[in-house]
Amino acid sequence: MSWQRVRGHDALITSFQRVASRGRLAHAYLFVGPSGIGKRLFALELAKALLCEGQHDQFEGCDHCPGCALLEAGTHPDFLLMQKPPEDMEFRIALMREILDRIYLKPARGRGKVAILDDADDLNDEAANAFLKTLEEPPPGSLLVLLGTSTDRQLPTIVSRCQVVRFAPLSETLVDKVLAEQGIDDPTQRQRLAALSEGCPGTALALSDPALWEFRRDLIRCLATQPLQGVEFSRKWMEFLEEAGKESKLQRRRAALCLQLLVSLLQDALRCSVGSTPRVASAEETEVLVAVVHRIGTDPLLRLIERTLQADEQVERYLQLVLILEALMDALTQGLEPAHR
Amino acid sequence: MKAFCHREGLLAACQLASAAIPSRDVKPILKNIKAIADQGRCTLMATDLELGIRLDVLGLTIQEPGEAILPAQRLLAILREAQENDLNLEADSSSCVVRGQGMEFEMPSDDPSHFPDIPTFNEDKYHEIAGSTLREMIRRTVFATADESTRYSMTGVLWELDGDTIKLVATDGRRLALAQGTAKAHGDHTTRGQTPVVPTKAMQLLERNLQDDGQTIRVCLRPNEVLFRTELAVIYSRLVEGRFPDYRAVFPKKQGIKVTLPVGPFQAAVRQAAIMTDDDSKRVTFSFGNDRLTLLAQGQTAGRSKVEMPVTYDGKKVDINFNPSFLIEMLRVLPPDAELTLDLIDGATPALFRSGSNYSYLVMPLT
Repeated sequence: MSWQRVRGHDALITSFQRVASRGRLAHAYLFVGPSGIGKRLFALELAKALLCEGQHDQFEGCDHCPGCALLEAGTHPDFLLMQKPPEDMEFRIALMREILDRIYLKPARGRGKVAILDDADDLNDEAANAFLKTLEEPPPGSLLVLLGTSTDRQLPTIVSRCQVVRFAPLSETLVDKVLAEQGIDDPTQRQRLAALSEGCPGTALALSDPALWEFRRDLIRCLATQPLQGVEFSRKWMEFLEEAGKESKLQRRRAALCLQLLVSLLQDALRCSVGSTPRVASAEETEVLVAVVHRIGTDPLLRLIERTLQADEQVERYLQLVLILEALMDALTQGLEPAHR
Repeated sequence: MKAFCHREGLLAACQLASAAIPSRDVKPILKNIKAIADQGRCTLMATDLELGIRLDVLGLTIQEPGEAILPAQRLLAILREAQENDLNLEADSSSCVVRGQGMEFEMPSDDPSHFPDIPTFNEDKYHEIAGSTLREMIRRTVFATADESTRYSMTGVLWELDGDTIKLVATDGRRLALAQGTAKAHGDHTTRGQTPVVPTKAMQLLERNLQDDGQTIRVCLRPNEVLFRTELAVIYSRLVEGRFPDYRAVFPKKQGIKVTLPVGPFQAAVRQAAIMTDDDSKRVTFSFGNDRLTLLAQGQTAGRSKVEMPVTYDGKKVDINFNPSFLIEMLRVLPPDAELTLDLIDGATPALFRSGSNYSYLVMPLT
């Protein structure tokens, strides 16, 4: 039933079911793993299993009872999913207070309480510290789940109060299957997305946006041109990001996806240079990449990959997008010049 | 559902229900009112997931039973603006239509199963309290609750119902208000052995619903929730987690000095003295002796104030410091012509103010 929606984390599901059947669920979990891997979905199903009012022995939501219906609609009084507002850079204490206010009310439907704290990576110190006392000893019957990408992003005092659950990447076959279920019919495209996703179906789905692949074509065309039109392309790139929406979160998300595409292109070029086969690039695209390799050699390629990853980090650190792109394109223009050898 | 309704009746009911609609950002569906029409009755409910209201609409004829989500804000506007008195209401999970002569409004709606139900009040164990008594008791305690505290168990009012007594207690750790009244128990309803704390928000909503004198309120406390039945509605709230401090232990056991203070003049004196306090030093010194009470305050930058009023006390001189707002908040909810008695031991032990036999207010002095 409801756990089936979670893909590729069967071992975790079994272990949670086993722990729950013995009544030994912890009161606080920290789920870590790359974004798009299925942490939130897992946490929602866990909440559903806990709050389900149906008549069955399984630790699983039945999807029919009023409890499950309210949880799906996000109006279950004993359930709270708190996310950082898109315009904020940090998870602030005001949000934390809202979580605490709710968790310190007695359960309304009598089956316990669940609070999921999404974007736990962005908890600021003030909010994290306000949480410590509750995290250590939540009110009876409550379960707290924090979702983040890595334990390194948390204060040690937070990590030590939670049971850490690590989410492993899905196999490419499984990602391929998820994509097929989500209505992506072209097997070649599916295979490319799965190769790009690094085992995160959410990333693969985000990358399936046709506009991104249009952008990728432009990017390849730009790399093929000699000399590289860096200034012009960074302007075009920025326009593309702005098309994602007014909110900076959407633009940053798209910027990260674009950079991922660029890294994959450079990685494929690197593979060509050492005589391996590219993972994502088509035959036609490979020709362009081989030409680039011939022009500049392997070492500069490695540097460019590193430079692009650096840009990705800058996106995450909320540097101005225009500046990141201009600087990156500048580095690319210089790095791809034959004279640079 | 389909119903033929009386505009004013529906408007009054919707206005009452909408008091529970959250003002903050929540799931859009909670900004609405849920209606259930069944067996000749139409019930409206609204909730913010912490508290809720449930009430029956009067003057409504049900043509087709069912459940529906009514968009509160727009429906209220329609009911206010419409000229005629009889309207047709038709709603399902996708739309809500209001028709009158020469007008028709269609609004998108939502799935009623996504809206949590508010429990009904059909208890045989409950307490009955006069509305006016309860209103006064709430006013005299609710201001003393802790707001935004890390001590969550104090963010509400403790209810003690046993036999024919009702006690409400509120504290934020620095002062404590205790109001007492009479109530009538039905079916052995009692809170003995429990410490049910009703959130401040629910107490305020209840107080607003007690404006008409002469009504009797029924209260039922369950382990996790409380239900109030007023004349028109049922108010529901979840209780606060945690243990409320043992308030009986903080009342001083020793006998000290006793001073009688008239509420009105005393409040005036405190307010005057408090003018010279500032954010850094919220402190007024109260000095009793020589049949006089002298209030002294000195702010960092503000200046100095000295206010005197006559009292009947001629014993040993006693000085005690208070945060004046703690006193003003309490004096404000008492009738100005009433009298207070103050029990003092010294400048370092909590001072106990009493008004009649039903109200006690304990304040920690500043040291």
